Amino acid sequence: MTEELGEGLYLATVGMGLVFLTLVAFMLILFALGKLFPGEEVAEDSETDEAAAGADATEQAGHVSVQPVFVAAQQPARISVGSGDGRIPGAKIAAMAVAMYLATEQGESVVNTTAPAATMNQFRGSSVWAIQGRESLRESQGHRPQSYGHKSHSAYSPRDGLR
Amino acid sequence: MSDQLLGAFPDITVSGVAMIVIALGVIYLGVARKYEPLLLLPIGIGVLLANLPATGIAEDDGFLGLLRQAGLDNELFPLLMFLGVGALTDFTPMLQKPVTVLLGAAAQVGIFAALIAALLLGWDINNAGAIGIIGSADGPTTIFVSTQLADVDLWGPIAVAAYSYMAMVPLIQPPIMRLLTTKKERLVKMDYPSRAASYKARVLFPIIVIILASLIAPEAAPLVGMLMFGNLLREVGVVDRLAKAAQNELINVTTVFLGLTVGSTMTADRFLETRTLGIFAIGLFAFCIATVAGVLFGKVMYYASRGKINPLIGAAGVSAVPMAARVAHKVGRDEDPDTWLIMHAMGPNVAGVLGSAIAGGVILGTLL
Repeated sequence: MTEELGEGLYLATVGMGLVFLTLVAFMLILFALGKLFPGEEVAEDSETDEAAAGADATEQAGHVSVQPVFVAAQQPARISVGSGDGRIPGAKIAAMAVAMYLATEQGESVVNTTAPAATMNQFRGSSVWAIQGRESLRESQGHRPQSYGHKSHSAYSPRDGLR
Repeated sequence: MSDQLLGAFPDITVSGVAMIVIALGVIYLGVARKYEPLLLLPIGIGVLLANLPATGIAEDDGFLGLLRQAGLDNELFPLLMFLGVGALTDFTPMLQKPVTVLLGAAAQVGIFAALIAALLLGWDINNAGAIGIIGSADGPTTIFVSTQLADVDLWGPIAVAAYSYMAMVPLIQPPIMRLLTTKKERLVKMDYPSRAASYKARVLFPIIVIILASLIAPEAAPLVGMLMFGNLLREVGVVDRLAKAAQNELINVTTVFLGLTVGSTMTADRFLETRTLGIFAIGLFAFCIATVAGVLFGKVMYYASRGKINPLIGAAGVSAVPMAARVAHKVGRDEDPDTWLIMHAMGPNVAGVLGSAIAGGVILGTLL
């Protein structure tokens, strides 16, 4: 008992020492990697929002799947704001986003005027794209077989004696 | 003919019925209470199948016996699971704040404290090492170590204790965290790193860890190797199919097989002993000590950093990912809803996975 306890204490001391030693070595390696291969600057203003979004995503993932270990954390934002290195400035990205949104809104209003009133009533509350999708799906679904035994997709006639 | 059809009834025993009730309890915890359902459900079914009389399912030539020999006796299943874990783990928070790695080391005190406690309670050193590893709060590591060190009748209780307590981290940790920290400490808002982790760093890190960990603790090489290989699949960006297979199909299939086979080791003659209760008690002790050590080291870092590190993230050093990180985040938000700790807590959390694998390797290397 005493001998095994001594062995256990030795193991605990050496074990914790090695765990700390190894992880300190990892820490130094991580510092070195950070110095040798620095990542991109993270935008100041987007940090908090992105971190919050990452936190929510991780929390949700944890709720959905309580796996034995794991769930990947979201990475913080990597939005570049500098323009001197050839990257698009944040202000330009914002301007493009606004322009795209306005163009989409304009397109929707055009489609709205051409959509049949009956269809609009039928799918009240649906988006125009959803209505068009449904119409297109209905038109492209093809026809049911003309009669029992007839396979519309078959290259052979069912009554030609070959099958 | 009729003997075969109704032959199971005479074999029903009180202990067998008790095991079936325990199996149903494990299934209940997984399904109704959602305590680690991915593991506890297969384990519960494994226990149930192994304890149904006269089926022989868990015998060496039964299908669970064959699965056990194929993947548990040779530690294959935990390693495959660790591959999936690696593919699902994002080490970026640790890469961005390397100093949090130390918190992952501190929380491993729980392993060795539980080992000493098991020795004091009269277990032999091999079984004590296997019980102590419950404190790693890491399922694959626990099973990997216990299947090599412990008696076969302890495999099931150790695995069930580990997964049960991992599921109960939100109940176990917060009171300890609040007890050991002041309100001022819990209110610390930590700065976010100014730089993202570069691609080269994310790719080089797993390779360096494999080499270094294998040199320091060779017995940890299978665990660390699979973990970091899985992470490399994820980070390298050119083998998405393999990464997705490891994150989904591989880990899911392995989880089913691992749960069933671990459960099948919990037969009445092996499980219904007073020492099983001892395993559960020491397991709880290990989780508490791991949390205490993590938070106390967090306090040390709080003072060393002049109040820039929130000591709550120390509790995430136990490697129950991401549960422990979420608990640290939640306790922080309970004090102040504007406190966002989860990304800071993920650093020690994933460092804890590495730390527990190293600790497991050290125990195996010393005791085998």
